[in-house]
Amino acid sequence: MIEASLDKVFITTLSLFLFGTFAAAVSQKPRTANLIAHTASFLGGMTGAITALGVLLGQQTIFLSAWYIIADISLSFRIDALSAFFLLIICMLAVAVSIYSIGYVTEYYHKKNIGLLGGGLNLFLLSMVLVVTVDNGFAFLIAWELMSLVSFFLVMYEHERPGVRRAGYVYVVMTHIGTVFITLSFLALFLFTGSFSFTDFQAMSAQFPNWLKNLIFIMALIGFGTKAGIVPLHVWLPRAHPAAPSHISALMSAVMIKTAAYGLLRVSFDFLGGGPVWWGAIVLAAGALSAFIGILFGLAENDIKRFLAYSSAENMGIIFMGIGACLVFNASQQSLLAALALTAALYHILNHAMFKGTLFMGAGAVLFATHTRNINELGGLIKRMPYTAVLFLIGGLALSALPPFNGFISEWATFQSLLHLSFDIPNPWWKISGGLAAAALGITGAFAAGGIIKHFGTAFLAMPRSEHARGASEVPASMRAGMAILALFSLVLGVWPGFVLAITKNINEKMFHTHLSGDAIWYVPFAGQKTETLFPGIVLLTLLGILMLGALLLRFWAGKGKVHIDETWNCGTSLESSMQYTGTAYSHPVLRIMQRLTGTHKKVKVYQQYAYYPRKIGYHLYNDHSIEDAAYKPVVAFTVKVSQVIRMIQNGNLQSYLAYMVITLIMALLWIRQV
Amino acid sequence: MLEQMIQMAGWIVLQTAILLLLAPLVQGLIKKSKARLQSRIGPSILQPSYDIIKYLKKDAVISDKASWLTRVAPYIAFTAVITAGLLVPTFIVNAPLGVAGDIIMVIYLLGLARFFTALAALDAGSSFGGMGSSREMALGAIIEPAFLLALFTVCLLSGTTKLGQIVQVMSGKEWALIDPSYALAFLAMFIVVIAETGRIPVDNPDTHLELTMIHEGMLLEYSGRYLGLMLWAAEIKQLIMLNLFISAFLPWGMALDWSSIGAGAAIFIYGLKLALLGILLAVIETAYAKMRLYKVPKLLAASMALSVLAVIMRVVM
Repeated sequence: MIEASLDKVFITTLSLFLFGTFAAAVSQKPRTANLIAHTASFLGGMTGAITALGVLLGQQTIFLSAWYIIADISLSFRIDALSAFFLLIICMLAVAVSIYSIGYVTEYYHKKNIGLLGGGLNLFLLSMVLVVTVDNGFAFLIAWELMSLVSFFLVMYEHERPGVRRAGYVYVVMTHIGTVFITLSFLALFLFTGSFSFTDFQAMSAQFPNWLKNLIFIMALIGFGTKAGIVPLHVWLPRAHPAAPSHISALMSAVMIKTAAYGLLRVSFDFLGGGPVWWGAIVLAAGALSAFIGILFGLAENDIKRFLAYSSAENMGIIFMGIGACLVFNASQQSLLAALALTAALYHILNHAMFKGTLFMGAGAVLFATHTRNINELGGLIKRMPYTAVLFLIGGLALSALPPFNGFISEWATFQSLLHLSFDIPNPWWKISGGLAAAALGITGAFAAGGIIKHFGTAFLAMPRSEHARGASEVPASMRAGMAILALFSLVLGVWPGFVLAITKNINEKMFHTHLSGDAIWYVPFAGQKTETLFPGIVLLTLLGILMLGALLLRFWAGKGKVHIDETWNCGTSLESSMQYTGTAYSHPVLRIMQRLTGTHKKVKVYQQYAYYPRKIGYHLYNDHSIEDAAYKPVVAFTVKVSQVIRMIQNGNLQSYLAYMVITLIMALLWIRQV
Repeated sequence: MLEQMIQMAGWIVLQTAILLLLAPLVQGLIKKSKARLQSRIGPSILQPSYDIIKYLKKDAVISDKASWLTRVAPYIAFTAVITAGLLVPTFIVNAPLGVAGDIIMVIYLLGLARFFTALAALDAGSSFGGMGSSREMALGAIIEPAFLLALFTVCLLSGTTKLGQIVQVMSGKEWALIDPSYALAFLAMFIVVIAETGRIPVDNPDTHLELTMIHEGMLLEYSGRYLGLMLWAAEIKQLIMLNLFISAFLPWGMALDWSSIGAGAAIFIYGLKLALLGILLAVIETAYAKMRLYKVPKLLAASMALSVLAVIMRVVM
């Protein structure tokens, strides 16, 4: 009975998104379009979340068949625990972003077509839901392509702004390179199973020869890695995210790139049933590299949204580290530890969606209020936008993996997975690699904290640096509400891991036939006596207890204490806003320490009439992303060269084009004849 | 159940009291020994405690540019540090909150304190605060992996990150604990302790000279009660680092349970270890000059290299 009704709830979700797409697109008035689009996506998100929770907590699977064209080409759905987990995240973000967008899109009233933006949002959500729920390789590829294209159009929404088209172009090229590899990997599966159905993939892949499994895995890794923004395939992330409208960036960063993790988990565990240890080692290494390089490049940025985009590459790296550890444990028959690593990765997927959603929406709020993303033009927003400041800070604390927020719990679990690689895998190489991976994770967290302090401190604290910041005012209530929902989840998930353990239980049961126990706690029972436990709730309670008791005691003992308000000490001169530390200056020490990787160098130019009396001094700081250049320049040069050769056939001569067609026709006829 | 909770609450109160009272004493001891080594008489060992009492009672001056963050940050930093301290054993093999968290929790709670200190430093708009904050976060990022690696060498021996169990395993080994790997890890961790407590040669806790200061730079705009809390938090953090060092590398003589004789002796031994470490820190501060800022990463890289070597030694031997 319940199962039957969950079906209907899920169909309602799809219909709502579909309705939102078309109804909004044809609406003429911006207000109507805004209302229709975001009501539809809000309700769609709510119903979708109900479906997902029903599946996750009710231990069931939803099967649905929509269209059946011919044998392998059909649209059918199967929502198992893994699908439902991702569906839940997409729908949670859909709810929060819908509320936020009601306020945010008023920015575009009478400038741009709101109907298209709202309709695009719905279609984007629909495509992501399809990606994680369809049960057929063919439908998956179409949904994947739909997701890529819709997000491309949404990135290009403000195409008249400088730089946006170029960003969109890089995005569409990179995402299609990824799609090529994913398609190849699915075609390989199709060729050897003779079917596009996921069920057949699962059933028959056990008989695959090893080289084929390896090939499918590597192609899926490259393909999904491109979408996930894994270094060195991350170049589109810092370009596309700042170009897109902020609520779209929030969705892209919080959920769209997570579909890559879904795809990788689906292919590597569900289809191929795990693989040899070196699969895990590759994923782990790619994740560690991505986490470290991603956040390091992010530190150099003065554009809030570019920083957040780089940090998304970092967080996908952390997720990949968890998946990599999981693959290694799975290959070594350590099922409980594999479950721990998978839970860490899934937990981080959920957490990153929550806090990165908050942060991107917060960056959007700053953009909405000040019309600039450059933190060196901002400052003092904490007094003008108090709510946004608090919500952004919560998101930032979670991003920096600081307790009591959710980022800490999943990083803790990832740390445990990495450390247990060295504790419990006998191979001596892992003893060292596990520790080094944990150290890489540590430096990543510290860099993230530095980046958040740089951006929050420069944009929100002290004095405004420009008219933009001086004239800012708090954003509409709907935008604050959208951010607040996700910020609240950041706190709840940070002190109550039991919820995530409950919803990931079935995924672990299915893959490893074991699960982690614990409700308000995180408790990992191991074979020996030692157990790793974490009670974040107790720590939070102690923290609050000491805080209140300490403040009270201090109050009783020393009295209320007077506070005098006076100027900031500036060696006796008056403090100008231009004297404050800028974002550029803030990250300079780190960049200088990491000079080899970031290619940081400065140029000082003295403009002078006479020696010793400069009129002004120009100081420029450059970061050459030499890693990106090293990876892409040769590839681009090669592609251009090949294209020049291929251009020969495009000679503009009508006769030769006709000849091509005739030759193609003859070849096709011959081929059909042969078959 | 209720009895257990009361016991735990009692233990929390006891350990909090140890942290609060002992931290300024250790600071005083280091200052006193440093003064003696430099042939000065120096202030009394109790001077840092007097200072804190004085600060807490004084009125505060706050910048007109600052927001609520300046007032909230000292409380958060202070409580985060204390909570971290409740997770680290002192004279007995477990800590009051030992079940609730592990080494990673300790590092990240200290990170929370660092985060708010560095953020509040930017609040007044002073470029001294910005400079201190920017340097703190840069060095903090390099210290973090060194810290993790040094502790990792210890965790590897016991196969867990829980401090209580690590200490049990370590003290169970008695003198067999000392081997080449232990010596390398000892050095690595000692470098981290110096860096994390902001002492010479990484930072100079006694200076207000803008070109050299890191931690003091961040506190420049603070005064009165807020400064008192921040300074106290820094001293407690120093004590926690020493406690961590003692738990991981000098676990001998820690009490296994609450029997009165054992606990009494353990408290005495604990005090002795702290005093020795304090004097060692003073000797290093006297013998070395402060390093240039951009040389510090090399020192920490050396610490990381030592840790990796320690792990390799552990694996091959």
